[in-house]
Amino acid sequence: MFAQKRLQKELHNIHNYLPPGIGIASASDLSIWKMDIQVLDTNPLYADQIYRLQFKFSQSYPIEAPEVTFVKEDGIEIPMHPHIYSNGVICLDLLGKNWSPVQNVESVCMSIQSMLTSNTKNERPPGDDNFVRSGYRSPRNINFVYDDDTV
Amino acid sequence: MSHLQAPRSTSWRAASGVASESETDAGKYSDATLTANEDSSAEEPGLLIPLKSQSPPVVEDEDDKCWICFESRADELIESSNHGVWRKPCKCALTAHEGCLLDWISDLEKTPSSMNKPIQCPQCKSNILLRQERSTIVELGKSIERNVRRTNSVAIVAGLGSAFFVTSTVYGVNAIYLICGTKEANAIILGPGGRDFQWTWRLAVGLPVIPLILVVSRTRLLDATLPILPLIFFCHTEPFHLTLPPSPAITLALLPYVRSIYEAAYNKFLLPWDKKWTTEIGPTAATLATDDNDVGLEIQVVEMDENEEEEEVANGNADAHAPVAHAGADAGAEGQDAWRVERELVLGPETANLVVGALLFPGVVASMGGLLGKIPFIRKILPERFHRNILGGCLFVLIKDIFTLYYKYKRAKQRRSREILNYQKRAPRREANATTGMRR
Repeated sequence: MFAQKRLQKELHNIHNYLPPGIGIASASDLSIWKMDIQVLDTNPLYADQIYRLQFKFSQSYPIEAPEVTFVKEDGIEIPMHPHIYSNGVICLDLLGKNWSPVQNVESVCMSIQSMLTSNTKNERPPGDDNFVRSGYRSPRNINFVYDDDTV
Repeated sequence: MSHLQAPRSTSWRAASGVASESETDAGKYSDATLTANEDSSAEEPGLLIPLKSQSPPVVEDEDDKCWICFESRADELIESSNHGVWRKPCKCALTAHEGCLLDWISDLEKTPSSMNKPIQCPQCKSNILLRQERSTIVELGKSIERNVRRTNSVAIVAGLGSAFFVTSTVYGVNAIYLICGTKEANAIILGPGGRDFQWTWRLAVGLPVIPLILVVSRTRLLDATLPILPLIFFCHTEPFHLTLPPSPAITLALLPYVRSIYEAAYNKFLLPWDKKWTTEIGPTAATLATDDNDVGLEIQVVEMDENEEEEEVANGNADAHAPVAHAGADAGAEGQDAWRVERELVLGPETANLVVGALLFPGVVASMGGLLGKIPFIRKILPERFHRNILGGCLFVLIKDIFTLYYKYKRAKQRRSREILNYQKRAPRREANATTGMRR
């Protein structure tokens, strides 16, 4: 299939090279990958922490954006960020309306990494409690308002 | 679906095979830059595709990689792909399979927000041009799709508007029949003698305007215009001739003046008292600066009415069953006549009071008229139902104002007598009686 071939290519590239601070945790099948990311500079919010991203690919990848969320696993937390809900849902235009097939797993990881690096606010998005309680797991069903270009 | 709507549109569909087809059958293809506004494409001469040109040959490089499926030309040497020919649609380094690009574009077209945007290379943001067969049906469908979106809101507004118009007209007809009685109403609506009915502009405008005027006449907004309106609507058939009692047309024409005179009199003689008592009901002198109707505090009031006394006796505990009166709720009742003091149209419960009161008014007037009709003396002086109704309406306003004023007076008096009770385990009955007595 379309998605599988492309993912195989990406996996092949990733095994050859990955930018510093980004690693592959698991990619056992071609529908869910887990990637580890680390903030490299001395941002006190994320120092010495490793975070885990989960990529869910549909059959229409890369035409359709993957579902990318942070996941909580043993010893791995969800990073504090004004655009990241405490259930791991990420509000990033790149993963929604600004997705294009030119993006790939590596570039998404790098975007999220830099989103963390540049952040200074130790806070969750407004309405985090309600959002988490309402049980949205899939970012696809959410119409985020990308109103804040500063973070 | 809309980037296809550029003035002259086509696309880069022309592959080697397709291109030759377009040469032989040029009429089938329109020469247009699909995405583009013509301006931007004109700036870049290379972007305008001459009708019979083929798409420029792509320099083959084995390292070329499709930016969508990530397959390279080298891969295709090993395994054939079904993604179509290679395309290099923009000035940057991105190359792609035609099939991949078309899939991507179809996906973009799914979202309505992208309908009117040209397709851009995600890397260099230059427009990607396509050539496609021109189809009148597709163009038509697209423009319908676009316009339906736009028309819907207009249609909804228009629909609600006409529903409102019809309701208002029916209300107007009802009000006229209620107030004027069948005979006069027929004369007004159907014309003299009930024959030669014509749907004139007076009816078309006048009838639906009735509820609006009723509402507005409870405010100051139209004070200047109201006296003129009846002249326009009723005094067109015959010249004035004074009779006693005056004809409906003249009565109606005079009503706004009566209203103004009454208001002036009320404002001169009664308004000071009205204001004084309203102020007394309000919080206190300390908070007088705030609006009287802003009594948002919840005050627990121990009302000592007979019924409650019985209850108290039965329960033997006054405090536990002291009814709670919300001053806020009372403010609503005050609001009903607050228009005399502050006759501004404000949104809120007062507005609802005002509108509902105004719309019910014809019904009230008719029943007052009906009551008056039961009195033989009045029936003798005013044989027409219409005149009894008008008299009834005036009486109603008068009674209502007097009652409202009296009610305010009593409330102000009650307020002055109010005192807070100390907590008692058991309310001694005598004391309760004493308080009640004082209030009377």
